[in-house]
Amino acid sequence: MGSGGRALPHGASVSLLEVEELSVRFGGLVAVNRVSFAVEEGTIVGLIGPNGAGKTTCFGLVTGFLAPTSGQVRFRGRPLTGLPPHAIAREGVVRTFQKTSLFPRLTVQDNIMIGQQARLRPRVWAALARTHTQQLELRAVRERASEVLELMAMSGVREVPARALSYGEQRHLAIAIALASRPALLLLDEPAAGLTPAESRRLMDLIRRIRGSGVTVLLVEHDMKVVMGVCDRLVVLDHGQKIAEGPPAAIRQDPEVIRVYLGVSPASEAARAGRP
Amino acid sequence: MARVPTRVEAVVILGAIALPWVLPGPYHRHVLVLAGLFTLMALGFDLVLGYLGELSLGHAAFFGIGAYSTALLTRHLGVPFPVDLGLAALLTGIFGFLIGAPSLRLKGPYFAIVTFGFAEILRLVALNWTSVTRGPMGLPDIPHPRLGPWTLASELDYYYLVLVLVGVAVLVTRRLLDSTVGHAFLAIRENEELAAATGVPTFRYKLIAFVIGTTFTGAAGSVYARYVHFVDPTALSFYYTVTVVSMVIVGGQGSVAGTVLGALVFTLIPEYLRVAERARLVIFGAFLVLAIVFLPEGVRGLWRPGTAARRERVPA
Amino acid sequence: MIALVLQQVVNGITIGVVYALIAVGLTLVFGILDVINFAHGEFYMLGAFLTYSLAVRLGLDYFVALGLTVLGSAAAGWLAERFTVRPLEGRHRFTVVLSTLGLSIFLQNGALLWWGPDPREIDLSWGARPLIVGGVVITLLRLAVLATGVAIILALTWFIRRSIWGMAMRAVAGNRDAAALIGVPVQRVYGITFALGTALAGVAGGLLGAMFTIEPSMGEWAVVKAFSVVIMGGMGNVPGAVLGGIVLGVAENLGAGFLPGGTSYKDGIGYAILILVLLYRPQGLFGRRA
Repeated sequence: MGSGGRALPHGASVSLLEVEELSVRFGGLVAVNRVSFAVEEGTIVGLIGPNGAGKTTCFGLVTGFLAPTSGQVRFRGRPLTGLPPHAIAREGVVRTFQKTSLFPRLTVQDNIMIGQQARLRPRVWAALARTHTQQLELRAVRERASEVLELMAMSGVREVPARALSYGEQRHLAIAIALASRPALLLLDEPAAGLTPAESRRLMDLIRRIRGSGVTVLLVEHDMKVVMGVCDRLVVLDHGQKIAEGPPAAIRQDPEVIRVYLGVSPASEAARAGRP
Repeated sequence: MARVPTRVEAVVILGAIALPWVLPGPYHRHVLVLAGLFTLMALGFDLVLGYLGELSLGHAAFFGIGAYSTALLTRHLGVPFPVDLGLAALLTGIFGFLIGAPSLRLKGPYFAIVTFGFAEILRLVALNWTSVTRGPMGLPDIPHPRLGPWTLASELDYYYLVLVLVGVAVLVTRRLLDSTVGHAFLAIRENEELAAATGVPTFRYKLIAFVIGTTFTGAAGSVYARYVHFVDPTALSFYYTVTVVSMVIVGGQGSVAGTVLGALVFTLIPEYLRVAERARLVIFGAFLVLAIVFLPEGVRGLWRPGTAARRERVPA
Repeated sequence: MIALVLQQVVNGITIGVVYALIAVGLTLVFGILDVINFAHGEFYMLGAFLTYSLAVRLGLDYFVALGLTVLGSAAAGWLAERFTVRPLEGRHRFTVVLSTLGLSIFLQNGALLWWGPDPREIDLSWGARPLIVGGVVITLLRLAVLATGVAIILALTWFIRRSIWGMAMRAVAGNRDAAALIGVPVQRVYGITFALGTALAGVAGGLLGAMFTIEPSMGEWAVVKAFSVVIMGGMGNVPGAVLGGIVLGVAENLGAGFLPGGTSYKDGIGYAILILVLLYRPQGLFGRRA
C-alpha cells in the first residue's frame, strides 16, 4: 500500500487528490451531489457505480472540463477547482476519455510526442532562434516518446497513423499519450471498455506497471474483474452520491452496493452494463 | 510538415531568383510581384487555417491596415524605408492582437463571421473617417522605398524585395513548426479537446499564430502601398480575403509549397483573365467553385496525390 | 417628438420585416444543411433584378413579377445546391464556405456583366401615394411591402409547422441520421430548403428593390444584414430571425434618426450588433445554448 502522501510541517498529511463536497447541477438535475473522497499517492483507486451515477462527470469536474456548482478539488493541498483543463494537466493530473480521443492523422510516435506538452514551456522566440535549448528539448521529447513506446510495448507500431490502429491498440495509445508527460495522477475513463478478456488482463498488468513507475491511478470502470483485480480502494457512486468506500473485499459484500447493482458480481460478465 | 529535400529547396530558391530574367517584359514581372505579395498574405493566413484549423474571414482588413499605415507614415511623417515597413507590420500585429483576443474564444462559423464583421467595420472606418483616410479618394503619392543611394522603383526591384520578405516568412513559419511550438499547433488542429487535456494552452497559441499571421499580411500591405503609390478603402475589400482563402484552401492547407502554388495559381488566373476583360471575375468565380468541387486535395494533390498523409508528420 | 420616434419605428418595422425574410432564408439553410451560404446576398440581388426585368422591362404587374421572382429564385437556388453544395457533402466545412464564396463572386460579376453597373429603379405609379395614420406617414408602397412581408412570414410559419415538407425539414434539422432512417428523403429536403432560402432572399430583393435602387453589389450589403440578424436570433432559429430582423430594422432607423452623423454609420449598427452578440452571447439573444 502506498504511503499517505506528503507530510505538512505541522504534522498533518495531505492526500494526493482530495475531493470535498463536490457538486454540479445541470438545470434541475443534480448530477453529482456532495461527493467527497481522497486518493492516496501510489495507490489505484476505482470509481464505480451503475450507469448515470456521475462517475465520468466527476472526472470532468476534477480535470477542469466542467465547473462545479459547489465543492472543492485539491491536488497536493493546492486547489484545482476553477483552473482550465490545460493548467490542471500541467499540475500533473491527466485524463483519458470514455470515447477514445487521439490525434488520428498523426503516427503513434507523433501522438506520444505531442502528449508531452504538459511538461513543456515552448517559447516562441526560442523556437524562432533555434536555440540550443530548443534542440535539446526536441531530442528529449523524442527520447521520452521511445521510452513510453517501450513501456506500453508499442514500439512496433510507432510509424502507424493512429486511426489505422485496432480498437484495443487505440485505447492503449490513449493511455500512452496521457502517460507521456509523466503525470503524478492518471485518470482512466473506462479503460477496459470494449476489450476482450485477454486484452483486459493485459490492461490490468499495464495498470500495475504504471503504478509501479510512480504514477497514482484513479479509474472509472464497469468491468468488475478489472476493478476487483487491480484496485486498492473503491469509491461507489449511485445517482450522484457516494454510497460506499473501502477495499474491494469489503465493497463486494456491502449490502448497499449489491442492492444498487442488482446482481452484478465478478462472475456475471453478462451483467456488464454501459457498453460505450 | 514534410521536409522537402534540401536539393529541391535549393533549386526552387535559385529558380525564384532567376525567374524574372526568364520571363520577358515588365507585365510578367508585375504579375510576379503580385504573386509574391499574395504569397506573403497567404502564408500568414495559412498559419491560422492550415496549422490551427480556424477560418478567419477578415484578412483583407490586415492587408489594409498595413497599407494605410505605410501611407500615413510616409506621407505625413516622412518615415523612411524600411522603418515604415517594420512599423506597419507591428501596427498590424497589434490590431491582430486586439481583434484576435476576443474573437479566438469563438470557434468555427462564429469565428469566421466575427472576423468578417471586424473587417467590414474597419472598411467602413476607412471609408468614412475622411479626415485621416480621405475616404474613397484615398491616399496618393506614396513614395518608392529608398535604401541609401538606391531607389526601388522597377518591378524587378520590388520582386526581389517581396522575395526577401517571403523568404523571411517561410523561415519563420518553418522554424515555428519544426519545434515544440509546432507540436502544440498540430495538437490544436488535430484534436483541440485532447490538446487541452494534455496541457496545451490552446487560446494562447491560437492568438500567437494569429498575430504572427497578421504581421505578415501587414507587411504585404505596406509593400503594396509603395508599389501602387496609392491606397484607398478597396484595399480592405472582401475580394482580397476570398482570394487569400482560395489560395490556401485550393493550394493545400498546412503546407508551404501548397500555399505558394495556390498563390501563383490565383494571381495568374485573374491577371491573365484580363484578356476576357469584363467576364474575368465571372470566370474566376466559376473556376473557384470548379476547383473546389473537383480538386479535393487542392492543387497540390494534382501532382502528388496521397501526400496529404505525409504532410501530417510531426517534426523531430 | 413622439411622432418622430413613431415614424422611425414604423419605417424600421417595414424594413425589418424584409430583413427578417432574408435572414430566415439564411438561417433555414444553416439549421438544416449546416451550411453558411455566403452567396445568399447574391440571390437577393438577383431577385431584385428579376423583379425589375419582369415589372419594368416586360411591363408585368408588380405583384405578378414578385410571384414569378419567387419561382425563379427557388429554381436558381435548387440548381446552386445541386451543383455547388451537394458534391461537397462530407468534405471539410471550409470547402463549402469557399464554394459559396466562389458562387457569390460568379453571380455578382455575372450580374454586372449582364445588366451593367448602372443602378436601376422600379418606379410604381401608385407607390408614392402617402397615407397618414396618427401623425405617421407611410407610402402605399411601404405599406404593400410590409403587408407582403408579413403575409410571407405567416405562410412560411404555416408551411414549417403544418405541411409534410415542413415536418421533413424539421426532422432533418433535429437529427439528420434518424430522419434518414425513418425514410425522410434527406437530399431532396436539402434541395427544397436551399430553394426556399433563396426564394425568400429573392422576394426580399424584389420588395426592397422597389423602395431603393438596384445594382449588382447590393447583395454584399444584404448578406451582412442577414448575418447580423441570424446571429442575433440564434443560428437555425426561425422565430429568432423574424424578431431579430425587426429589431435590427428599428435599431437602424432610430440610430440614423437620432445619433450624430447617423446615416453614414447606419450600416455599422448591424456590424456592431453582430460583433457584440458574438462576443457576449454567441447562441443569440433569443437562442438557447446548443
